[in-house]
Amino acid sequence: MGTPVDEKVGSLTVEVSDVSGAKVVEADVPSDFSVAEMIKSMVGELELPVNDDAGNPVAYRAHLESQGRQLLPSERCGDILQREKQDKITLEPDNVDAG
Amino acid sequence: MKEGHLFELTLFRQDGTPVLSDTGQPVGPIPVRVDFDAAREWARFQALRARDIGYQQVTVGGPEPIWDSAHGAPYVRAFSIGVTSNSHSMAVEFPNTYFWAAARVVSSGFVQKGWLEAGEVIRYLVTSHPVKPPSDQGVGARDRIRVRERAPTPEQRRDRSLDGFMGTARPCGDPADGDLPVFVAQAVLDEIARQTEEAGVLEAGAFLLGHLHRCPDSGQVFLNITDQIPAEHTRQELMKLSFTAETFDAARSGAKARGRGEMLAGWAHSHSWLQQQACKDCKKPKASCKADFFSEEDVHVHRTAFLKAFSVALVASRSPCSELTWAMFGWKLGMVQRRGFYVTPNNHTNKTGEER
Repeated sequence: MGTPVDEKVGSLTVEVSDVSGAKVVEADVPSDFSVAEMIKSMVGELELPVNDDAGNPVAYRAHLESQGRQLLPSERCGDILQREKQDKITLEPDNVDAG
Repeated sequence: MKEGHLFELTLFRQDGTPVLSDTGQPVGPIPVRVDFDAAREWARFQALRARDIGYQQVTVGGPEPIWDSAHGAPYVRAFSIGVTSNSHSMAVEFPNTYFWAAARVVSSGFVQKGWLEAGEVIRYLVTSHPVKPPSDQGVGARDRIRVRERAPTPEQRRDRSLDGFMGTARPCGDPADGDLPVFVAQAVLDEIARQTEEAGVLEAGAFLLGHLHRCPDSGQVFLNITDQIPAEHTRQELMKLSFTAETFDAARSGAKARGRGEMLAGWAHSHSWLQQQACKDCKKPKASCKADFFSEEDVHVHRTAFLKAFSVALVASRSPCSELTWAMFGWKLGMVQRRGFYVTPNNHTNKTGEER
């Protein structure tokens, strides 16, 4: 069950990890957050690389395990995350280049 | 996740003289943001290797400076990361070479300012000071998310005899004592070689699947790569291979769908551009040009997607004057370094990929 922490909009508890599974956090995400806002916050919380070696930004996308799909940046967390069960989200880098 | 110490770097020229600013004054210590995650993950894995404990029971601390024995604080000789479980604790020491990447960033800034020449060899001194964790006061979006750190899901380890693997394996590269033994099935190399051939001069990628084992006799932990799946949804170029979110999506779901409990234990990619850009050495007798290096871009991929300390990367190198050659890279003390591995014969796994 999601733990409400924001009196006005409520929040949903999710497990978020990086793609390697080495970094995992449990987060209470405000339900009015967009997926883009959640990704931006969680990349910071997980301290994931935000630039490649040349200084180019690294983009991340959120994969929602329960639905087996990547979430759109514009989707609202309150519309897609489950309240009765903790969802698992994996942040996948979208443009990393091997040389 | 927040450090208890601020680390600073002071750069010197190769002859030991200080770097001078525009005003002719020595440039003082520069605070640096250091990525300690790879060090933490390495420390966590060393605890797992040392004792038969799972990740869930382990707590990993922040970096603690180890002061230079002659000069004391704030001069840093190394740093340590502590790992504690219910019954044990240990500290893993890391050398100052860990700060090399941060020093490179600082030196790049100095080159841009004209304080250093491009390509100039530098030396650096590491100092450190304790700092208070940043205040949680704030009204930004990030402050509305409350986060609790969780231990990573523990790897499933199966008991297998290390001697059973060593008995039939042949070394490739130079496996070093103390390194995590890594075994790769010959069939995996054969499949990656075929995919490399099919890609022509373009780079091709794959994900390595396998299991961690602990030897019941010696207690040693080792990695066995049993299969590979081609990297899909990539952008292949002559000297670049771009991984997208769909690439990782397909790899994770592909591994899960196999139902064999395999981990994504690493990745592989090919360097075949020498096929098109034959070098002058190719014309020489007995030439054997290789492109089996790991670029800074490759390190970035490894850091971004393969942070687990046991994760490895294979590079398949093709050139007109040599056969396909292999090189493996992996984590050591939180830094990516070339390492050796062992090749196991194809009969070590059955047709479904299960280990015998």
